[in-house]
Amino acid sequence: MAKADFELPNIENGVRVPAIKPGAMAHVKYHPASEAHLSKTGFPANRVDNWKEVALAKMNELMGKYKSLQLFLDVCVKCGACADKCHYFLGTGDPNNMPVARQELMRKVYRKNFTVGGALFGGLARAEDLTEEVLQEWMTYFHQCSQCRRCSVFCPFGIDTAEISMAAREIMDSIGAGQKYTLEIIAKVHDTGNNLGIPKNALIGTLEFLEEDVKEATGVDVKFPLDQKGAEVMLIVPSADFFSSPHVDSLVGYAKVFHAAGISYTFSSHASEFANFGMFIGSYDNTKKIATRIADAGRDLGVKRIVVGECGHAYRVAYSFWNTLAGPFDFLDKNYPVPTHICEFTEELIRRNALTLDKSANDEFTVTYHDSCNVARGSRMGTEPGGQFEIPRNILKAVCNKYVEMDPESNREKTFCCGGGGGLLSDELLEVRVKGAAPKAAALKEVMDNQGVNTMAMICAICKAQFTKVLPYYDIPMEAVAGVHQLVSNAIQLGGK
Amino acid sequence: MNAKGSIAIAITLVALIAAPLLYTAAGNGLFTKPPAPQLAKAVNATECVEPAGWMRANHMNLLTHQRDLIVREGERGRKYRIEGCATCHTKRAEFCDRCHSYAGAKPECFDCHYLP
Amino acid sequence: MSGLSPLSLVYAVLSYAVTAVFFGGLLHKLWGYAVTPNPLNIATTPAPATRGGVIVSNIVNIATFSSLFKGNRWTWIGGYAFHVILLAVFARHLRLFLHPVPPLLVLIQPVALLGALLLPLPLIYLLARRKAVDRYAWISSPADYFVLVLLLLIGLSGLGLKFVSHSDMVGIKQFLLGLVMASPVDMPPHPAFIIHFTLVLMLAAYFPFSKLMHAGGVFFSPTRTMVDDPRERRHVNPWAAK
Repeated sequence: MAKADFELPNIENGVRVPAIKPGAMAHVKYHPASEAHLSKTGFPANRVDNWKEVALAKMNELMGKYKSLQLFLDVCVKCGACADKCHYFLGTGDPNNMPVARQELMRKVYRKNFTVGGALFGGLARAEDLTEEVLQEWMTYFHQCSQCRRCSVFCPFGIDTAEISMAAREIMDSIGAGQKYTLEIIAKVHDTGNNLGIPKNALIGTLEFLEEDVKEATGVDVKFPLDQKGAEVMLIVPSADFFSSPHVDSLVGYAKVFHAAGISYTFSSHASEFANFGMFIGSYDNTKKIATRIADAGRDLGVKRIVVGECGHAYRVAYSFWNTLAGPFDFLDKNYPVPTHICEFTEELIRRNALTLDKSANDEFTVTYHDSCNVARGSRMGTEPGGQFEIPRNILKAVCNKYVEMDPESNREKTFCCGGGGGLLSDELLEVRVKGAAPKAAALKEVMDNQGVNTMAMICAICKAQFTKVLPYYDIPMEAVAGVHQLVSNAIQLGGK
Repeated sequence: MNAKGSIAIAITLVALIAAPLLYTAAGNGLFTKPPAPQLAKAVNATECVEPAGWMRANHMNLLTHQRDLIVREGERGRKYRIEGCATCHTKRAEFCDRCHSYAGAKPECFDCHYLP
Repeated sequence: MSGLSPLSLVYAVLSYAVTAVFFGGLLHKLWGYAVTPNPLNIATTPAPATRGGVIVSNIVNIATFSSLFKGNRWTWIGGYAFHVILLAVFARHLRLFLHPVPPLLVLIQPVALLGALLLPLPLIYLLARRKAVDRYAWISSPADYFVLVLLLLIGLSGLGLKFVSHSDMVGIKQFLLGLVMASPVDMPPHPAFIIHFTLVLMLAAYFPFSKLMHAGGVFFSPTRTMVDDPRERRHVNPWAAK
């Protein structure tokens, strides 16, 4: 069990709504971005002198550009339906982690500067100026939101705190007060095509190593092609899949599926990253630039389809935003959705009986499935609403004998975020991440204790990285974390059909 | 939702709220004196049991109060009786109903009493 | 407006000013919600994949507060009861603004009166709720209490008008019709009515500049009104079209 130097929430018998503890998480600060990263991502390299005016002007601009922001700042009635829905509030008790209170951090500035009531009545209307103190609150608490959208499900008006925290981060970036983790990564993807900054040579080496590895294990020549012009499919995966564990086991799974299906595919060295951190910081331009890079790669390689790997926020960007940001994708085959999720791809093959699967290969695992927040609430798979829940489960049931559901109050549409999404997967935010993971850890613990579950499958690179790091704090081994295609990889029989 | 659809919804919402006002203004005209109920003149007396202004606001109190005393408590011979009203205000349709239909209020008296 | 009593003159001017502020503010706000673009499709999924489906799901949510029900049953009970009762009370008051009065409005009076009688209950409940739970107390500002108290006072003064201090309803209706027909007549100088009417004017003037705009905003929420079809139909961002 990993040792925490802070108090852990009790996850036995589920996570209860805590009593509020004002300021409980105020001490957690992100590392500020360097000048180089701010400049590279199109923001001022240092805090601008008239930062307050610039910030308010940016806020005004964003309210004019985003219906969501304008409307959400106005219509909250503070009913409190969201107050106990955020995993960070449940894990920390800090009232500023209640979605409504997080929004209030921006709303009080909005009232002061953009409404009659706030200007007239000030404190009585809880209107506040954008002071250094308020800015510090923004820096802290808008980086304790993983933009998971759970609050928006329960809001009578569909207010999505993610929209507010994205706008807040865009405002902070625009005055030169950005977060190191996200901006560094965005700078890397602009430079190298992936978040990890992997150069092409290293990528080639990794893929060759994987080919040998799989050959050794299976005796089959499963290919991991790079930059292969004219391939049918371009496969875009989160770059963590190339190097991290357990991510890489899912990468092997994708490759085996393509091999078994006999469909040619290729990775791209120009766009070797599916994740799009531009959304985390609400930056339309950065999100667009990253998405466009992928579209360009597909066009250059002359592929007919784009299939995407296991990644949550990235899939939301791809599913919901790509067509707007980098479309139209008229160079691709119209018969396939753009993008196609690897789960859609695999499940369709399973339904056509095109894969030979040996479920018993996964008999050592009793598997449950974690719905990643942005897949669940920001995307769809298949043609029916809710396909994003059913399709990965269909795959798991086809590759495992023992499959168990977690409490639907903590999963599916109401799924709890892993606690590391939205640009929080950074060491200095570890306390927030560990505490924010409590509700999901509790749901997992329940099926581990009562139904013998030992594996939680998922389709998100951040979820995988986060859970392997934080679950040990709750006495859950990191080996419990698996990718869906990792289990596919175990079950799939090559050289058969 | 596209901008046209949104604008249509915005206009519909405002129109819905304004509808009763517009309907009344259109149906009754602008800059004309608002309609008022025309009442038949009382016969047999020149003064009511109480001042007219007070009666306008409070007549129902007398009627229900008296009803409770007379019907439920069996007390007879009170000062105000509905037959008394009818002595002067002889025609319900030209007196009671005028104001009641003007204000959209249904009197309870005639659930039991018959007044021509 | 000549020949009006000073009190009536003041209230006629106030009424017109409030009406202008109310409709002007409402139009301004709704216009903003309507024309501000959605650069990206941000439907909260699972969501209907067709426009028709979205319309149905929004009608259901607006008519039943289904997402609040999902969020918190106790808040739903108070909030939903309040809104239904408010609707009944509105219906009850329409007879004072319409001439002639539609028969249906006469028919529903007893139900609407029941509503008026009950109105204070959910308001007191909603007030108590804000005090009783630490999370709600933390997020509640003076403005949140102000609206509830204002509505409560409006309800109580209305009940006072009905049950304690009767006023000349015909005179009141004439006054209101006169305002609507741009031909003001004297207001019955009845204290209970003046209080009730003043509070309502306050509420109307406050409405467009407050959280009460949720009543209009709920129709425009992008997470709820956007169709989940971004792969099938390219959503074009109006301000990024290059």
